[in-house]
Amino acid sequence: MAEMSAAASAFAERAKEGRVELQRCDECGAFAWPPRDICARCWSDQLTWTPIAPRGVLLAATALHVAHDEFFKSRMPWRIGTIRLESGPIAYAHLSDNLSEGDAVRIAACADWKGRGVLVALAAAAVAVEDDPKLRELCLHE
Amino acid sequence: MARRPTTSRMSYDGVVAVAPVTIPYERFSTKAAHWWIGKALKALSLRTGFEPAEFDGFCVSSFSLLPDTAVGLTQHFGLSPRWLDHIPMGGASGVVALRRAARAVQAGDAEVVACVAGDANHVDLFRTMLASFSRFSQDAAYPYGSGGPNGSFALMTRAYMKKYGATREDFGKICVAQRDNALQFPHALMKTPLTLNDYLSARVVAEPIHLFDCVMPCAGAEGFVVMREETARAMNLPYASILSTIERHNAFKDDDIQLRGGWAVDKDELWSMAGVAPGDVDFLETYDDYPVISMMQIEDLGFCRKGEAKDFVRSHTLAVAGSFPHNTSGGQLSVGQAGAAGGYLGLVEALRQLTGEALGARVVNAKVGVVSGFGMINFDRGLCSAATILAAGGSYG
Repeated sequence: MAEMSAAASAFAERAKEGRVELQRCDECGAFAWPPRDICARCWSDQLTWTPIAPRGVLLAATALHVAHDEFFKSRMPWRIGTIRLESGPIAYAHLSDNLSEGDAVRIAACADWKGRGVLVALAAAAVAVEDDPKLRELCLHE
Repeated sequence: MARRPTTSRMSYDGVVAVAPVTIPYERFSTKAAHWWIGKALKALSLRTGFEPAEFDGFCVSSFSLLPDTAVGLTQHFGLSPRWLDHIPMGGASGVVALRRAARAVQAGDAEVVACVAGDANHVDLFRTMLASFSRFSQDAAYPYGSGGPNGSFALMTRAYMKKYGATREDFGKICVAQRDNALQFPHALMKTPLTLNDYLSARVVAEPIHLFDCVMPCAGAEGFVVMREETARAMNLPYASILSTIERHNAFKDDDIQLRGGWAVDKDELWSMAGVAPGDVDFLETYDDYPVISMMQIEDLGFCRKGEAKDFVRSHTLAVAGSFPHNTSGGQLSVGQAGAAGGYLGLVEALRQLTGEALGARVVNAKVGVVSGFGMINFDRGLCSAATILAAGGSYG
């Protein structure tokens, strides 16, 4: 199991079941990412895991050609991007191959081969994680 | 965003920085961070003539000291300081160390403060540091391809190029000029010339980042000493005066992607406190972990308008002998990035230029230099920004 915070571990448990949930502040309603202990807007510690509208916009994309991990090294180039989630926060996500900057995306979550919860961005038209060979390896490794 | 200070800040009159030292970098080294930092302390002692026991203040920055902190180093080095600081701000560490030490000396909390940054680089250290750099990075950045800062900066560079029209040629011009400077700097790890064609045809690392946009991790150390001006005069040490400093963390936190840094919040104060204008500056040392960040600093510090660093770069020559000397020792891009020492490199080089101790190319008649720092990609952006304006020997104005 990879090192992660307790809050990230709680995210991973949900992501493993395919649930796209982020912490939402009970007091001010803000969604939070990355997982945390305190709301960055109002400093409340009352954060509740809440399903988000699984949508966002791909702001920037890159293809990694160098990595420090065997899984990615053997699958280069690997695409990641910066997403503005419809629920508010900015997040990195693994990208399916057919996405371009500016695209509206659909967000999915899974646990990667190390048990880390990760976000995945897919084309808004309904395709599943299983339809992208690389993402299938990332998410369906058991 | 932040409330403006209601009272004007105290000047740094009477406090100076002396004795810029660099312990020559090594690509890989089996030596620990403690060795590198200790070597820098020894060099500071030799340069200033102060015995170890005479340093009553000590400030350190390092990523590879664990399980030690500055506290453990006091016993390791036999120091008994009455003022001790440990600054974990990466690329902003040098400027922040300077401004904290200066206030300590000014207030009489310490007389002679050794400021040092140093890091080890044994095989695999870089990868393990990437994986555990920060909580947010570990949880929400590293799992996305384990590319480390290359991935984050690739996304920032993409967004910057798209918004402002900067090109790879513009970034390349910065890198090529720095390599020209580095060829004259004895401690630079990069010792062969770099052409724009070399830059453009280099292998891709994370689009649009290519090989020569990236720094080479290495081991090394940098240091300087802060003391009262009268002490420096009495010891006959050449010195630089501190005209102004700024520091800011987590600025513009609601920006989608980082295209600006905290300097933009505080730049008016930087210039007004110093009493100089961008046109008075003889050279600029930016934090150059990637060239896009140098362009961001040129804009956010006020050398040109936002988005126009590309035009600024196109209209200037950036080597030491050029119209706008920039990163005069070659910067991290050509000297190497010795961990936290990368956050000291520009400041130490500026002190050398202003005290007439340049080891490589010398900016002729340098009177005023600007140094800026940028640090810590905690998740998706660099959180720490800092800058200082320095003057040679108290002679300015």
